[in-house]
Amino acid sequence: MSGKSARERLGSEIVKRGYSDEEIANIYELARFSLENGDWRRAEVIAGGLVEVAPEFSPAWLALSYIHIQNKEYDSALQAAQQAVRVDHESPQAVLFLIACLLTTGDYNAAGTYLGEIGEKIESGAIDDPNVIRFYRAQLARFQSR
Amino acid sequence: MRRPLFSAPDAFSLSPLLALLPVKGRIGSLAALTSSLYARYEKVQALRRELNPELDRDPYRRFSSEEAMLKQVLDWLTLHHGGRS
Repeated sequence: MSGKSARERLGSEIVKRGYSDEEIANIYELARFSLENGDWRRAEVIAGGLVEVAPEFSPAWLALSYIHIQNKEYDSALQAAQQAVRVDHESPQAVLFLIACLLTTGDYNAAGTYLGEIGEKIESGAIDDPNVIRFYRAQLARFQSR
Repeated sequence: MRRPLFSAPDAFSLSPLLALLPVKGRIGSLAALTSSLYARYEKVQALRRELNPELDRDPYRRFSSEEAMLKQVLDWLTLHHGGRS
């Protein structure tokens, strides 16, 4: 097949990749499992593919942000966390990743705003995940001791 | 509840950010998707090969990323479940 006819098909192929939610979730889970087991290369490749085929799937952006943080690529980590928040602003995990990146890159004003948002949700009982609350407290301590 | 004195630390204590990553699916369910993922891998690989990396830079990059992702998944399935690759 010629390159031209391949290009004619690209629009529909790219827009509608056809992955089910279950496939995306399970592929992401392999990335998370790989991170837990130190298989960074596999996790990075899978997360990088997921954000291409499912850019609205926030956890893949978080996995990518986590990998960038571990690689000390803080600007890239910040961009990935911003994408995660853009596609799912209600995710406290995404906002906390963003806060951690903002504090690391020195944007304390923005970090403070997001910390306020999360703090209000914790106080109102909307957030009760113990890990989220522990991480929030750790970031609040970073913010207060800047 | 108090933890036993010599129990392993919880995941959050070992790596807070990693423990924060949400759990969304089950890797055990991937094995059932092997055939469809393999078919998709072959299709994406064929599409990527039809592209000119110079003329179709963005689509080429996207297909390459997707192909690499699927290869990692299929390699893992082959290793752990004897799936095809």
